[in-house]
Amino acid sequence: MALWLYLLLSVGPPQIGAIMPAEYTVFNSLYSEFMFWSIIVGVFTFAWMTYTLLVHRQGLVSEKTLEKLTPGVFPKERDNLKLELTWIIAPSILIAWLVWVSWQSLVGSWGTIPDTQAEDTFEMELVGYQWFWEFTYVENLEWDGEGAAPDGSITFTNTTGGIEVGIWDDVATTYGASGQLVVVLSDLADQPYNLTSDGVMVGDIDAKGHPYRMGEHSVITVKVIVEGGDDIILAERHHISAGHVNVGEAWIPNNNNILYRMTTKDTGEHPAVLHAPFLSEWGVKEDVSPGIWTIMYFHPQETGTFELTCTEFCGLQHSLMVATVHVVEPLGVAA
Amino acid sequence: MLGRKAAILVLVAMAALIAAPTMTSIPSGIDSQGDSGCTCHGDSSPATTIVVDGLPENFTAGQSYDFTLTVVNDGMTLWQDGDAEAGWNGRSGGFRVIVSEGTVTGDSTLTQELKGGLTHTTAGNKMRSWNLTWTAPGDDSKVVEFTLLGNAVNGGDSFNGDQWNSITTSVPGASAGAVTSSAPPLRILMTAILLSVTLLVLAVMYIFYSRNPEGFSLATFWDYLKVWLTTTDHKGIGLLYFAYGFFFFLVGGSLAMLFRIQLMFPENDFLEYAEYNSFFTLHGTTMIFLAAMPMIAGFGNYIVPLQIGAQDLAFPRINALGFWFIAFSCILIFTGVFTGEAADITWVMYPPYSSLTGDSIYANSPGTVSFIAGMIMLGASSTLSGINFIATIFVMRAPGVTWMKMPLFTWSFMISMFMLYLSLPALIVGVLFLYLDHTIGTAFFAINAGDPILFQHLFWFFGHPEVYVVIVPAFGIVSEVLATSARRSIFGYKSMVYAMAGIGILGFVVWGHHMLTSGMDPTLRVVMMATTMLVAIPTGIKIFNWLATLWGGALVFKTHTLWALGFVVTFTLGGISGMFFPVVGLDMHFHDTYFVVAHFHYVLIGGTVFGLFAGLYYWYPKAFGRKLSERLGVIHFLISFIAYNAAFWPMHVVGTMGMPRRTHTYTVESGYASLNYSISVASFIFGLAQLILVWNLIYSSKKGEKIGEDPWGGWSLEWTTASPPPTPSFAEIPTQGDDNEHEERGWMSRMAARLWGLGMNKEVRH
Repeated sequence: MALWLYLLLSVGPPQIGAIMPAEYTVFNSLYSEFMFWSIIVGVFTFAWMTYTLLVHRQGLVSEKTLEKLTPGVFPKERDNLKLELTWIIAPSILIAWLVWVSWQSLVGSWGTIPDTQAEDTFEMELVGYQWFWEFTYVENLEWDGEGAAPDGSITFTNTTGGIEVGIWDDVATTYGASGQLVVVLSDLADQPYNLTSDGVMVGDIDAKGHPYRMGEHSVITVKVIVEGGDDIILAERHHISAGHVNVGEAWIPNNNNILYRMTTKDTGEHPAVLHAPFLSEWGVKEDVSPGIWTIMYFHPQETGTFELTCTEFCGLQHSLMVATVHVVEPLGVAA
Repeated sequence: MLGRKAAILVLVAMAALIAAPTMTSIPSGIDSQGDSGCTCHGDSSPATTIVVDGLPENFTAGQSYDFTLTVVNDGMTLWQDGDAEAGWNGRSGGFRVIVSEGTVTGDSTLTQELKGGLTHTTAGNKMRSWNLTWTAPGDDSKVVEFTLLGNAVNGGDSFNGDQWNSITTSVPGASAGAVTSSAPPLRILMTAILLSVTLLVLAVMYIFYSRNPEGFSLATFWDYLKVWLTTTDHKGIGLLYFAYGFFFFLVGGSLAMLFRIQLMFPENDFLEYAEYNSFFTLHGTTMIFLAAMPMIAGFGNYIVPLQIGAQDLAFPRINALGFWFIAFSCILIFTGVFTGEAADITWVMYPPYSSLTGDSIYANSPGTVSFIAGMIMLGASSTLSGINFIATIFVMRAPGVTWMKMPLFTWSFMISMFMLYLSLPALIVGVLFLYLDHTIGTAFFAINAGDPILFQHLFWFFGHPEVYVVIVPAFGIVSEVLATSARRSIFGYKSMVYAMAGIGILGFVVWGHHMLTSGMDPTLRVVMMATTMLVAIPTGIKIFNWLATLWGGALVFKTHTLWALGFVVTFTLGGISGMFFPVVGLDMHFHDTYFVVAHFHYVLIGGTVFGLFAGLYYWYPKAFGRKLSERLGVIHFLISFIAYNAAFWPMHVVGTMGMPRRTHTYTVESGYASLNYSISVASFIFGLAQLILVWNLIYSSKKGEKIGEDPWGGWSLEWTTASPPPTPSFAEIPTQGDDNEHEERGWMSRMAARLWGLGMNKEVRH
């Protein structure tokens, strides 16, 4: 039946963008299990139905063999205890199995809230307001951004005196000709802060003071400023220090247990209403409610940029409450 | 005489209520092109003014115009803090310009194009005046709208303390004609509804006129109407309920079609935010409370007394009162639609959003209070109906209509009324608390004083049995229709009854599955998961029993048969998709996405509405003495069934992809666009196909094939009365016979008969 095929097929084929949470998520394995049994139950039911519609019809079956239906008279009852017991017991077994599978998946993924003291647990705070998300960092996070320079040719070393940026020979020669090579530190509060003096530097550079301000997202960029063209970024080191507050965008480390502690707050103009951050890549969401802290945790296994949408109606711009979450490869975190 | 004056006064008052604007208009800084205004920086402030200099009076096609945008706010104090290090960070202003046509550009270090508009860069953040260039479009017959937002920034570390404002201006092209503003979709809808109500009244008048042209006068017309307005006869009230419900089914459908237009394209702006939010709110509430429940009540009122051999319900006047409560509640529910201020709190009305007071853009719309009051009225109405039907079915059954000899529709209706009656207190209490929170400042659901999640528990304790309330009568209708169409008795009558009762009981312990991501205790989530999955067992029994009913039968494919078969298909699909939700690991993804929307439309339309249509084609001849046209009916079914599946199946897909519910629009990048487009098109076809039914109803009332007592060969008592039945329906109370009389009864049956001696007529107690 064409309609049925259409229905079946529309569940599967690839669409633009991810069609469901990542393969490694609990969601995906549960979905496969449930889809499998759904198809079996569906095929069974519709095959039975199709057969009976084709065969047990007026003209093909004589009414004389059936119960008489007389108006005002309750007709002869039809039942078959064995048959009815079958279709009580068989579904019960299936349901029991599915409950078991679902329960076990919970025990596996929710059994314990990730231990916040553990190395590979990354905790963050998320507060929902009308109509934006505010991320607060509780731990430091450090990662390298995209850069044109080959791996290892530009190094960033944390020292007591600050960050040492090492730019080795090859880089200077390869790129020095295109323009002026600079090292720039920028974060929200400061102006971009040029760490180099004029000309091309080779070897270590001492940074001034403490380059990572508390509560900031600092970026040290090694780039070549090209006259009359785009800058060439050679290397980038990002560092977010605990206490940093960001609206609408967050970076989280790959292969960590990410733990979000979440709530919503009243700030005068922005009353606290229910929201629900939803990360469809990992199939997790949880409501945020005023006066309580809820949690959401998941374990990303791939880098990339993903959307966080709001899935609890919160007023006029509910549909615009979108934040961006980047999963990055973390480095050993510096103080 | 006095009654007529009073009625006219009421009508005038109603008209005044509907026509008068309810509240002052909401100041709106929000632009319908999707730009939010600088709301992250706080509320807009009149202290800031935007000065635009250099835009032309009329533009020439393709020409570039240099203009400046200046943010003026002399009263702003730049950020100073005791700590010298946290002083002014050098930032002072921000802007955003959106144009409907043409492009705006500026200096490349100070400005940047961002998501459809021009805004400042970090460097451009240091000033309050920017030089911009606008290049006019190639078509100078257009009028270009500019939205210019400017923010006076105090240069602190956070977004607080900034003051922004916005202005709009339009620049017509050299050959632009007079500008006509388009009517808001909402007003078009409401005008259409008012027009159709007027037409309806005129049509009723015409029907009355055509029966007796000579004797027609307003006085006799009023006498005719008065009968309808004051009837307490179950048949009259049944027809009133059904007509009312069907009318609002079309209204709810029109609302849906309007917001499907909005969702057809990504980043669409056909509806404004406020309109969209109130449209889906009204759509949900209308469909459940003003359409589905009245239509079910219509069938219950008309058919149940006939099936049990009673002359009327136990409390006829309370029955009428219940109807008129629902009838007038629509005014409260729809308050504010004419000014775009109808309630926007969703049909589930979650606080804190629904109990916010005040007039800001962050709070709910002004129509909300009346909406909540309307819900209280609906609760009252359903409570009265519940008592009435339970009493009637318990004590007014005719001889022979014992508990286990009742038709399945009556059983289903009784179980439904039981569930409704028992679950309503939770809703009424919850809504009452919400109403008090909203009006006199109580703190039941207030932030930090009460508990917003309490409302969710109260609501869903009602809400879940409610959805079973609307589906179980459909189960009853389908059982009757399939058995009659297969020319057999239903398979497994007793287990059908037990299954419905089981669904009714289980329905009360599963409400938590609507709250699996609400921050509820994880243990409770697991409990709710288990109980919800158990509901599949009685439901499966019913579906298999229906199939077994057909097995070996001689199926006749009438329109009502087709609808009942369609029900079996779509309800099975809806039930299967419903199995995905109790699994917490799956619900974490699916909750509040379109997967939920797909599921409940499969069970509500594919279940309840299809069941009601089956009942309509089945029992219309009983009520009107004429059959509905089979040909139109089959066409109606085929188009509806195909369009319906084409519309709602893809919602499963788009929901799995992550599209959230209740969102006014979605981005181009999300990838939802092509599915939404086809969903919308299919839903228009489905909506328009219902007009075939409307035409069928009208046409067949005059031209339909006349029938006797039992056109389909059914067995229950309603098929022994004339079509339509007289009032009172039975000249004398009938006695239902029993073809099983000479069968040996099993021990369970005998024990049950003794246990259920309550309410049985003494003559038939075994």
